Amino acid sequence: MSALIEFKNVYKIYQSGEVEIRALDDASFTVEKGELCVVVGQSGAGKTTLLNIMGGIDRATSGEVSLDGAYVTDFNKKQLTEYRRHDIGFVFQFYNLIQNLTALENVEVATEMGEDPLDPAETLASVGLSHRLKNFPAQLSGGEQQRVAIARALAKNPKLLLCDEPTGALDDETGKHILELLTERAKNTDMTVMLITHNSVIAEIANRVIRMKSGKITGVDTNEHPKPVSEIEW
Amino acid sequence: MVRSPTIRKLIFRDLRSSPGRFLAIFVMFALGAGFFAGLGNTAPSMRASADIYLHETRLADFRLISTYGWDSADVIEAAKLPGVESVMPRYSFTAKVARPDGIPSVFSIKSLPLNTSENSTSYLNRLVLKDGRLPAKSGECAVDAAYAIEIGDELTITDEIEGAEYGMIKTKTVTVVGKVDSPEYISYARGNSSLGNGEIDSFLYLPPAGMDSAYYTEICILMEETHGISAFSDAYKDIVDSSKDLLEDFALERAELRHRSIREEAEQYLRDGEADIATSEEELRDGQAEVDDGRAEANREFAKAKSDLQAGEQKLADGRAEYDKNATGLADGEAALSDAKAQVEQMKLLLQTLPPGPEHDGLAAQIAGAEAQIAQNETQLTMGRAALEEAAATLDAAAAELSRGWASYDSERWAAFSKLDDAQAEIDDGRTKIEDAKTDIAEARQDLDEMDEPEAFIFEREDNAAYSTFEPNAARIASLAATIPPFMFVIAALVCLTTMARLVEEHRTRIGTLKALGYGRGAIISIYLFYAIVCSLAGSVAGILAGINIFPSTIWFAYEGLYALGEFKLELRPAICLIALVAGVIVTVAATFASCYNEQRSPAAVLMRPRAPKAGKRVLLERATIIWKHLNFNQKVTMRNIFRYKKRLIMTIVGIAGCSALLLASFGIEDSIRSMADRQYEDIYHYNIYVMLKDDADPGIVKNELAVFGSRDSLSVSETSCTLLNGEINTNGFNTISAFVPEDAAELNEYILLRTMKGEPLSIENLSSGDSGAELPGVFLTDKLAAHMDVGPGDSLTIEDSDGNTAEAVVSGVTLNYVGAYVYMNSEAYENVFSKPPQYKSILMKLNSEYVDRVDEAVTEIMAIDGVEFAYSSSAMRELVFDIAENMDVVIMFIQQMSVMLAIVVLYNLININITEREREIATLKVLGYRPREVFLYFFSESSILTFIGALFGLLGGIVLHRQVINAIASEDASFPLRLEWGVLLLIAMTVTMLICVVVNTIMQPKLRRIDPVSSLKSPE
Repeated sequence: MSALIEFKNVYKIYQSGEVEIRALDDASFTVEKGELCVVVGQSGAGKTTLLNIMGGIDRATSGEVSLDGAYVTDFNKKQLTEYRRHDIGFVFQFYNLIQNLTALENVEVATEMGEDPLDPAETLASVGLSHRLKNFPAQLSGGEQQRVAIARALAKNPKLLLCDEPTGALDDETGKHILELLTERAKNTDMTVMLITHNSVIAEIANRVIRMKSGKITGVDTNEHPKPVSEIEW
Repeated sequence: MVRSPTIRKLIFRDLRSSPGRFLAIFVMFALGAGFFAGLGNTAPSMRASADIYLHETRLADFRLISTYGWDSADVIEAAKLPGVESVMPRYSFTAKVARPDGIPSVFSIKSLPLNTSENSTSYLNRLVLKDGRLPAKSGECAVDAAYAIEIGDELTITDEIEGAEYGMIKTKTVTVVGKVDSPEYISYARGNSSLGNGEIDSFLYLPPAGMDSAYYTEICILMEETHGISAFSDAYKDIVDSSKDLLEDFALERAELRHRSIREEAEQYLRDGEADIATSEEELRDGQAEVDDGRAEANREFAKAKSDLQAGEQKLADGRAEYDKNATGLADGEAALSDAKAQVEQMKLLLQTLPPGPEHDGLAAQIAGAEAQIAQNETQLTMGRAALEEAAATLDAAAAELSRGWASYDSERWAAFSKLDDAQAEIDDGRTKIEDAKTDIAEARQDLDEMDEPEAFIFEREDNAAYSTFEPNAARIASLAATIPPFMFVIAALVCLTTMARLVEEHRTRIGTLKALGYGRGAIISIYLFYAIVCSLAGSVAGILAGINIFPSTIWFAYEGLYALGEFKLELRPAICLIALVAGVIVTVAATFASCYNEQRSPAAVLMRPRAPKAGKRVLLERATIIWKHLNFNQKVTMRNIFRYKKRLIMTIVGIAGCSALLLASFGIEDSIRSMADRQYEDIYHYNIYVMLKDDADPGIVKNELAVFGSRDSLSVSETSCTLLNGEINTNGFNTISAFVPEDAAELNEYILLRTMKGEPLSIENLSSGDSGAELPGVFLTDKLAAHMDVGPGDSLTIEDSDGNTAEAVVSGVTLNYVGAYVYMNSEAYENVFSKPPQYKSILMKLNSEYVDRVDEAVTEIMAIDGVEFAYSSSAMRELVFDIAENMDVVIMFIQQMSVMLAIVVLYNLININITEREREIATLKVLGYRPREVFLYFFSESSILTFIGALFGLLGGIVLHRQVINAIASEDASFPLRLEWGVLLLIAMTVTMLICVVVNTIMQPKLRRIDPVSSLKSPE
C-alpha cells in the first residue's frame, strides 16, 4: 500500500526584490492513511506553507504533492477548489466559524456541498455537542467552537483532516480535549489527520512527526506508540 | 486642522491605499455637488445667454400699434418720450407668399430701417445674418434662416394680406438675398394669423425702399433703463410696467390725434364735395328755368300757328259750303233750263198741231220768248259754271296750302320740343347725379361719424409667446435644481457615513494606539474629518467643475430645438457653487462625526483589542416556521446575514431606496411631462377645434356654417379674463385666468370633461347660480388655481373682472387640469358675478367622421368662414404643448443618468464594504471548498435581496419625490399629471435597479475572486 500523502522535493520560494525567501526548501515526506501526523516547528519554519500547499489553498513553486495518488501540484484552480471541497477538511486556529450560523448550520455549510457527507447533527453529537446544535458561535466556548469547526471538517467525510494550530487559541485543558478528539478520530475512523503546531510536546501523540526549521524538513519520525493525550503536559 | 505632519502623511497614505473608499465618497459628492451646481447655474446661464443675445440684437422692449398706423410725427414724438432710448418705425403685416413652386405659405413680413449699420441706434430687433446679405433695394428680401429656400429664389407676396394694404408693397415679387435669424422669433413658432390655417409659417424682412406708404404700422421702442438689466429680472418687469403706463397714454393720445387728423382731412374732402354739389345744383336750376321759358315760348308760338291754320280750315270749309250752294244753284238752274227746254219742245209740238192762228201765233211768240229766256239762262249758267270751276280750283289750292301749313307745324313743334326734352333730360340726369353724390356724402359722413375710435396696442416682450415660455422653462430647471440635489446629498451623506464607519472600524486598533499615545479625542476625530473632507471636497470641486461645464451648455443646446437665442454663455453664480461646496462639507462632517463618535468614546485599551464578533441571532423570519422550513440552507444563511447587521441593512436599504426613488421619480417626471399634453388635449378637452369669432360676428350664423364639419351641434362658450382674490392671495402672477361659461351648461362635459382630482365627474349645470341672494354663485376652479388661492370646495373667494368690479363666489369643486387656469361657471352665475350676460365669442366643436382625420383641412376651411377670427385644432395645441414640455427631457435624462450612477456607486460602495468586512468569512468558505460561483451567489443573493427591499421602499419614496418635483416644476398655469401608469414605471425602475445590482455584483466578482483563502488563517483583527 502506497502512502496517502507524498511530498517530493517541494519548494516554495517567495521572491521579494533581490531577496529570495524559501518558505519550503526541498520538502519530501510521506504520510500513511489513518495516521495522525504532526508537523512541528518554530514560527516561520514553513509549516503553515506546507499545510496551505497540502490543503490546496497555496501552490508550491516546484516539486510534487500527491494525495491518494492525485497530484495536487498539477491541479488547476478549479480542480483545487473541488479538491478542497471533497478531499480536505480544514480546522483553523481561530475556528473560523460563521458567526451568523448556529453550530448545526456551520456544519451544514460543509455538508451541503459534500458528495458523501455525514449527518451534521450526528457529527456534532460525535464531537460531544448534541446539546449545542442551535447555539451561535458567540454562545459557545472556544473549545466548543473548535469542536464545531472539527465537526464541520469531518462532516464532509474528507480524505484528510488538516488542522492549523487547533489548540493555539485555547487553554491547555480545552486544547487537550480537542487533541483527544482528533486522536480518537484518527484511531477509530481511519481518518488521516495532519496537524501543525509550534508546540513540540504535542508531537508525542502523533504516529508521525515531521520537524521543520527554516523551510527545511529536519526530521521525520514515526512513533509506533504515541502517547495518549492525557499523558502529555505543556 | 491636522497639525502633525506625520498624521497628515498617514492620511494621504490611507487615501492612496484605499482608492475604492476615496472614490466612493469622491463620486457621491461629485454627483451631488455637480448636479446642484450644474443645474443651479443652468437657469442663470440660460437667462444670461438670452440676455446677451437680446442686448446685442437690441430687441425692442415695446411695440406700439394703432388701428390707424403712425405717421412720422408720431415717431418723432415717441423718440422724445422720457426714458426712451431709440425708436424704430416700420411696416409689419402678414401675407400669403407664394414660393417659386407655387405653394403659398403665410409669412410675417416686416420692414427694416433705412440704416442697418452697426452703429445705427434706430436699428432695433437686429437680424443675425446667417447667409447672404441684408436686402438693400425694392425687390429684395431677407428670409427666416429656418425656412427652406435658397438665396436667389423668388417669393411672390399675394394680395391675401392682413395688417396692411397690398398697394403699400412696391415690388410684389422679391428675391431672397439673405437668410437671417430674428430676435423677434426666439422660438421656432412663428405666431398666428387669420390667414391660411392660422399658423404663420415663416418671416421675411423687406428694405424700407420696398414699401410705399404714408404711415407706418408700428413703432418699436427700446428703453434706456432696460440696458444692462436682465430681461427676466423683476427690475426689468418693474421698468416695463412703469414705462408701459406712459407709453399707453402716449399711444392713445397720438392715436387719437392721428384719428382726428384723418377725420378732419376726410371732412374737408366732404365739405369740398358738398360745395361742388351746391354749384352744380345752381347751374341745374338755371338750366331748368331756360328750358321752362323755352317750353312756354314754344307753346305760345305753336298755339298761334295752330289757330291760324285752324282759321284757314274754317275759311276753306266756308268756301266749300258756298261752292256747294252755288253748285246746287247751278244744278237747279240747269234743271230748270232743261225743264224750260222740254216745255219749249212740247210747245213746239203743240204749235205744229195748232192751225195757224193766234193761238198759233201766240204760242209761237210764247215759244220765241221762252227760247230767248232759255238762251239767256244758258249764258248765265255757263258763266256760273265757269265761276264755280274757278272757285273749286281756289278751294283746292287753299286746302293744299293748309295741309302744308300743318305739316310744317308738326315738324317744327317736334323739333322744338325734343330739343327742350333733351335739355330737360340732361338736367334730370344732373339732378340724379347730385342726389347720388349727396347720398355718397351722407354715407361718407355717416361713416366718418361711425369711424372707429382709435385703439392703440402696446406689446411688450412678454407678449411674445416664446418669451413667456422661456422663463418658466428656465425656472423649471431652477426648481429641479432645488429639489433633486438635496436628495442626492442625503444619499451622499449615507455613503459617507457607511464608508467612514467602516474606515473607523478598520482603524480601531490605530485609534486605540493613537489614544494610548496621548492624542486627544478631538485630534483623532479631526484626522477622520480631514480624511472625509479631502475626499468630499475633491469630489465636490471636481463635480462642480464638471457640472457647470456639462449641464448648462447641454441643456441650452437641447433647448436650441425650441429657442434660437444665439451663443451660449456660462453665467456662474458663485453662491450656488459655494452652497454646493459647503453643503458637501457639512454633510461630510456630520456623517464622519456620527461614525467616529461612538468609537471615540471607548477607552484605548478596548479599542486596541479586536472588536468581539457580533453575535449571530435568529431573525424574525425563523419564527415563521412554515416559511423558514421551505428555505434552503443558502437562503437561510442569506436571510440571517441580511438581518445580522441592522445598521448596514438600514444603510443599504436607504441608500438603494434613495437611488431607486430618484430613478422612479425621473421616469415618472418624464412620463408626466410627456403625457401632460395628451392628458389635457385628449382626456380633458374632447373638442377638436376651437373657433374664435370676430367681434361683430353672429354666432348663430357661424354655427350654421360650422354644422357641416361637426359631429354634433357645436357649443358656444364665453371666455372672460378675470382676477381672483382671497384675502392676501391674488392671481396677479398668472398669465390669464379665464372665466369660462358654456351657453348650454348640459353640453359642456361633451367638450371639456370636468372631473375632481379623484376622477368624479363635475357638472356646472347644478352649480348654484346665486340667484337666491342667500347663496353665492358657484364656480369650479382648476386644481393649480385652487391650490394657489388656497381654497377648496365650500370656500368662497372674490372674482374681479377686467373693469375692477368684484363679486363673491363659492368654490363648488376643483377640477383636474394641466394647461391654463380656468374658472368654470354657468351663465346664470356669470350674470350674477359680472352683472352682465356672457358674450359667446368662441365655439367648441367636434369634427364629424368626414373631417376628423383631416383636421388641418377643416381648420383652413373654418378659417375661411365669414365671421371667424381664428380657429385652431386641439391636436395642434397638443403638439405645441408637447414640444415645449419635451425639452425638459434632457434634464430628466440627466437625472436618470445621475440616479443610475448614484445607484452604481451606492451599491458598489456597500458591496465593497460588505466584502471587505467579511473577507475572512469568504476566505474560510473558499477553504471549505466553495466554488467561485457559490461564493458569488452567496453575496449576490444577499445584495440583491437588499436591493430588492431597498427598491421597494425607494419606489414608494419615488412616488412621493415625483409628486414633489412635479409640484416644484409646475408653473401657475401649467402642471403635470401625477397619476401615471405606475405599474409599468415601477416595473421599469425595479428592473433597472436590479439590473444595476447585477452589474455591480458582476463588477465585484473579481474582488471576491481575488480574496486569498490563505487570509482565513490570519488572526481576526
